[in-house]
Amino acid sequence: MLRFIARRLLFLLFLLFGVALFVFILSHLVPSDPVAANLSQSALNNPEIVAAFKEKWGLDQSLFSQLLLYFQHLLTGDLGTSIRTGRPVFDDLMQFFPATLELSIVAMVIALVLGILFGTISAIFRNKAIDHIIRTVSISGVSIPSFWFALIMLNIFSSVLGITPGPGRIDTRTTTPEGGTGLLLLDSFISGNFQLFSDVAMHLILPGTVLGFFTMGLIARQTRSNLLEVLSMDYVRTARSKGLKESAIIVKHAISNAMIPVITVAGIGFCNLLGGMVLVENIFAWPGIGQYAYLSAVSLDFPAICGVSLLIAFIYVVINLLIDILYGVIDPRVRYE
Amino acid sequence: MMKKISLLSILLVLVLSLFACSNNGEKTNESGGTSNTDTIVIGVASDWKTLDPARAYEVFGNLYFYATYENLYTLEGSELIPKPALAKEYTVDESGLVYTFKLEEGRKFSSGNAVTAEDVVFSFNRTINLKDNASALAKGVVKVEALDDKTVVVNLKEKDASFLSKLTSNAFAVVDSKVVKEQGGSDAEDASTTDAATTHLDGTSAGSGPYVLKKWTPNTEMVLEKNPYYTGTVNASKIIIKEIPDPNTQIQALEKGEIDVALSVGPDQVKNIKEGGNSKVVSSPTSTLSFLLMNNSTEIGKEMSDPLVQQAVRYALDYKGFQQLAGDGALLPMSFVQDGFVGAKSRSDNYQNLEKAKELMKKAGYEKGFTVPLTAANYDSEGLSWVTIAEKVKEDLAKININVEIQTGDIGVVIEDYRNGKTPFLVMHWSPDYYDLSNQLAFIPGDIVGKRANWEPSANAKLVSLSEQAKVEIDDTKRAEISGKMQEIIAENSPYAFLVQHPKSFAVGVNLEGVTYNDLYKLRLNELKLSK
Amino acid sequence: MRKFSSFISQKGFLFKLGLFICAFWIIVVIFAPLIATHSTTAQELSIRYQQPSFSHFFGTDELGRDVFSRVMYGSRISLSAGIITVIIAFSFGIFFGGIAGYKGGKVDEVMMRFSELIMAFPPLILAMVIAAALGPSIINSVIAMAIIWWPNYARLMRSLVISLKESEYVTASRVMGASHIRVLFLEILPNSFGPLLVMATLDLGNAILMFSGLSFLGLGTQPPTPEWGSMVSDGAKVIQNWWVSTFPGLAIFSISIGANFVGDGLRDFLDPKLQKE
Repeated sequence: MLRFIARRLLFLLFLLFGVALFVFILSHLVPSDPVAANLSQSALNNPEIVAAFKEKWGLDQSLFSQLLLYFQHLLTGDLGTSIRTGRPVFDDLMQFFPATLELSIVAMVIALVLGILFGTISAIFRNKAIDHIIRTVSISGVSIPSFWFALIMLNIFSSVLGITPGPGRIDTRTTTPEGGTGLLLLDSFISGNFQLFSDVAMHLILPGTVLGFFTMGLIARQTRSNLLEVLSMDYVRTARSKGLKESAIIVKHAISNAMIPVITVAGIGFCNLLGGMVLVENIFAWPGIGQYAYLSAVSLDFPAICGVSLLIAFIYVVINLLIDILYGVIDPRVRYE
Repeated sequence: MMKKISLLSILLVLVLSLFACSNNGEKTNESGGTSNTDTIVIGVASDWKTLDPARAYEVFGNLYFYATYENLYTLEGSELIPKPALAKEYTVDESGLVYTFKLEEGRKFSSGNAVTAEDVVFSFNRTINLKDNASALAKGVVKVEALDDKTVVVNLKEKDASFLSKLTSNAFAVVDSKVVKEQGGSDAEDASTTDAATTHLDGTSAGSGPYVLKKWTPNTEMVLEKNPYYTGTVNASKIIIKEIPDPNTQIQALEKGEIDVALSVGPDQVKNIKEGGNSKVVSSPTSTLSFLLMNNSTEIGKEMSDPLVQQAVRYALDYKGFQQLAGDGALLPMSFVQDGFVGAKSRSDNYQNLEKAKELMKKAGYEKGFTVPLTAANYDSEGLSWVTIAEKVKEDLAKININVEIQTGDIGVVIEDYRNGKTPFLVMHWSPDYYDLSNQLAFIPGDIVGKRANWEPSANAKLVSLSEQAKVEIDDTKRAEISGKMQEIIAENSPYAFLVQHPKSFAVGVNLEGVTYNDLYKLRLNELKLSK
Repeated sequence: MRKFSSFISQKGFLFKLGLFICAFWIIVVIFAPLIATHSTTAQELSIRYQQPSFSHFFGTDELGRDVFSRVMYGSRISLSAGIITVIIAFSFGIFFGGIAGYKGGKVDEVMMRFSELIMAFPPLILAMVIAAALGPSIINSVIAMAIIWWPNYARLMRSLVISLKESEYVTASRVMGASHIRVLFLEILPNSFGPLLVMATLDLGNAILMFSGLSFLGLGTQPPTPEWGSMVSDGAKVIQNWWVSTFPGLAIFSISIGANFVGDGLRDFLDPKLQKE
C-alpha cells in the first residue's frame, strides 16, 4: 500500500514536470510575441520601453536558458509572474481557486445526488417510460453545449422568471468579505452571518446546476448500467429467491456494490468540471480559475496558463490517487502491486 | 468527519433554499429597488493590469485614475479640449519649449498632505524613468523643475502642439510623493529597476481625486470611497465596480436593478432594452476609428499595393452599411482625423460608387478580379466585432470581383504581424493615446502606422511636410487648414480605407443622473447620482 | 396517452430515436442545397435580426443572413469535423493501445504514462493552446482534438488486448504460427471492435460539441463559413435575439444526443450481461 502511494507520488512529479515542459514548448510554438500583446502601440515604438520589458520577463535570453530558468523557479515553488496581471501566478491561483473550489463542490454534490437518484430509478424501471425520460435527461447533460446552456439558463431563471439572482458570487451591492478560507459558504457559516450565507447559497444554485449537469449525466448513466449488472448477479438472485423485498435488495445489496465504478466516473467528472469552468465562469462572472484561464489564454500569458495547467493536473492526479486508495478500502479484491 | 458535516450542511442549505427560492427572489428585487442611493454599482469588463498611474495605458485606465487622481489639465464633459485642474494657468515662452504652470491653492491629497510643485516634479519624473507603457506619452519631456511651492516648469525637446492634451492622461497624474516614496517609490533614473511602489498603488490610491481606492481584486471587484480632503462635488459616497465579462450578463444584471451602469456592452445589446423599463440607453461619440490597411509593399500586398486597387476598394465599400453595424451615432470621417479633432472633415454616406470602382479595377488590369486574404483579429471596436466587419468587406468587395478570404486570429498574433508590416490586408482600429491631431499623424507615410503599411516617406513628400507643420503649429485656424489638406490627400490616395468612427453605446438605470461619456475617462464617477 | 407511453416504453426506443436523428442529419448533409431556402452568405442589412417567420424559418442574424439555411449547411462542417476527429483518434488509439497491451512491459509503461500526461491536461485549455499555436482552421482544430482524444482509445484498446491476449483462440493461433501483427490485428482487433465502436459513437457527439466550443472561442472555422459553434457564438453576443444562437445550439444538441442514444443502445446490445433477463 505504502509502496503504491510512493509510486503514485513519484508519478505525480513526473506528470507535473511533463505538463510544465509541454506548456513551455507550446508557448514557444505560438507565433505571437508577448511584447506586442502587452505593450501599447506608442510604447512599442519606443525601443527603450521594449528593451526594459524584455529584460524584466527574461525574453531577451536564449530559449534554453529561459527553460532552465523556468524549471529552476518551479523547483523553488515559484510559478513565475503573470504577464497579464503583473502578479505572481501563485498568488493569482490562490486568489481565484477558492471560488472555483466552492462552485465545483456544489456542482459535484448536485451531480452526485441527482445522478445516483436518477440512475437508480432508471435501472429499477428499466425500459419503462420513466427510464427513457431520465436517460434522455442524463444524455442531454453530456450532449448540451455548456456555453449555450449557461446563457439560456441565466436568461430564463434570472431575467425572465427572476427566481435566482444574477451573476457573481454575492449580491452586487455588497462587497466580498476579506480573509477566511475564501470559501464564502464556509466562512459565513463559521462567522454566523446567515444573511450572507443564504445570499451566497442562492448565487451558487444556478451555476452549480449548469456545471453539474454534465457530470450528473455521466453518473446517472454509470449508476444505471452498474445497477443493472449487479441486479442480474447471482447473489441478488439468491436474495430474491429468499423472498427479500425488491426495495431491500436494491438498498442493501445492489446500490453499495454498484457504487464502486461510480466513484471512478465521479472522479473523472470532477476533473471535467474543472475544465468546463472555462466557459461557464465567464458567463456567470464567477471570479475563479476558469475565467483566469480563459483571460490568460486570450492574452497568451503563458506563465499563467502553465500555472493553471499544473494546478489542474495536480488535482487530477491527487483525485485519481484518492480513488485508487478508496477502491482498496471498499473493495477488498483490489490489490496494490 | 469534518468534510462530511460541511458537505451535509451545504446539501441541507441547497435543499432549503430551493424551497425558499421564489420568496427570496422577490426580496432581492425589492432590495435592488430601494437600495441606498449612496452606493453606485458599475458593471464592466475592464482591462486593468495595474493601478499605478505611471505604468498603466489600458482602455479603462482613466475611469479609475480620474476618480482617484488629478492632473494639471483635465478633460470635462464629452469635450476633448484640456481645461485647467490642479494647475490654475500656464504660460509658454517664445521658443514654445518651456511651459510654466501655476498650481491652485488649497488642494490636498487623500493623506491630508498639500499638493505641491515637488509632487508634480516627482510624478512626471517617475513616469519618465519607469520606462513602462505610460512613459511613451512623456517622451518629449526633457526636464521638470519646481520654481517654488506652487510653480512648475517643464522643458520640452521640441515644439509639441499636443502637450496639453497629453497632460490630461494618467501618465501625468499627480501622486502624493511623500506617500509613494515611503512605499519604495522612486523617480530617479534607475527607477525602472529600483521602484517598488506599484504593489502599494495597486491596493491604495495616493492622489487628490474625489475618491480613495479601498480595495481592488483583479477580475472581481473594486471599491472606492469618498476622499475626505476633496473639496469639489462628490455625489455617491461609495462606488463598487464589478467585473462582469459577458455583455448579456451585464444587461441582465442592469435590468434586475443589481447594477446601475452596464458599461461594457455594444450597440446590438442595447437595442433590446425596452422603453419604459428599468434602464435607458446612452450613446456618445468616441475617437475610435476602424479602417482597412492595404499593404503598400508589392511583395507583401501584391495586388493590394496598387494605388488604383486601393482607390477601387474605397469606392466599393458600403459606408452606410458600416454605419448601421456600428450603431446609432456612428460617424463617417473623410479619412484619418476623427470628428472632434482640429479641422475634421466628414465623408458623405453615398461615397460608394461601384461603377467607378469597376473602372479603376479595369484600369489596374484586374477586371476579372483576384483573391486576397483579409486578416481580422477576434476583437471588437466598441462592441462591433472585427470579424463582422471583415464579413461585410468580403460581401462588398465581391461586387468588384475581389475574392476575400477571411483569416481570423488572436489579437496578440495579429498585432505582431501588423507591427512588423507583414499583413497584406487587415481590419484594424485606431484608438488615440491622447486626443490631439498629433496622435493621428501616425498614419502619415513613414510614421507608426505608415511604416506598418510599408508606406515610405518618399511616396508622398507633401504629406510629410504638412505633418511636420501640424506637429508644431499652435494657431488653431492654421492647424485646421493643414489638417484639412492632409485629410483630402489621404482620402483618395493612401493605403487605408477608413470605415467608421464608432459610437459608444451603453446602458444605465433610469434613476441615474450625471451620465456624460468621455472617450478618455468614460465616466466621472463623482458626478454620477442616483435619484429616488 | 397510454398508446404513447407504451410506444416509448418499447425496448430500444431511444436507440431507434437516435438512429432516426442521425439519419435525419445525414439526409440534411446530402441534400443541404435542396433544403436551404437562401444563400448562406448573402447579406441584407435592412433585415438584420428578424424574428423567425415564413420567409426566414429561423430568423436572420447580425448581417441579415438566413439562419435556417446556415444551420442546414452547417451540418456538413460540424459532422465531417466530428467524424474525422473520431477516425483519427480511433486509428491512432487502437494502433498504440494495441501495441502497448500486446507488448506489455516498458513499452506499455511509457505509453500509458504518456497518455496519462495528456489526460491530466484540462482538455479545452490544451485544445485552445494547440489551436492557437497552429492557427485557426478546421483542420488544425481537428488535429488539436485528435491529440486530446486518442489516449482514451489507446487505453480501452490496451485493456481489451490484455484481456484477450490470454484467451484460448489467441493462444491457439499463436501456436499455429501466426505472426504478432496478424494476431493483433486479425484476431484480437475484430473481437474488440464492439466496445471500441460504442466509444466512438459516444465520442462523435463529444467531438462535435468540442469542435463547436473551439469555434465558439474563435479557433475553428473561418467566417463566413456556416459552422454551428461560431453561429452560437455570434448569437451569444445578443441573447435577447434568441433565435440566432438557439437554432444552431439545438442542432449541436440534437446530433450529439442522437449519437449518444445510438452509442448507448449499441452498448446495451453488445453487453451480454445486460442482455440477460
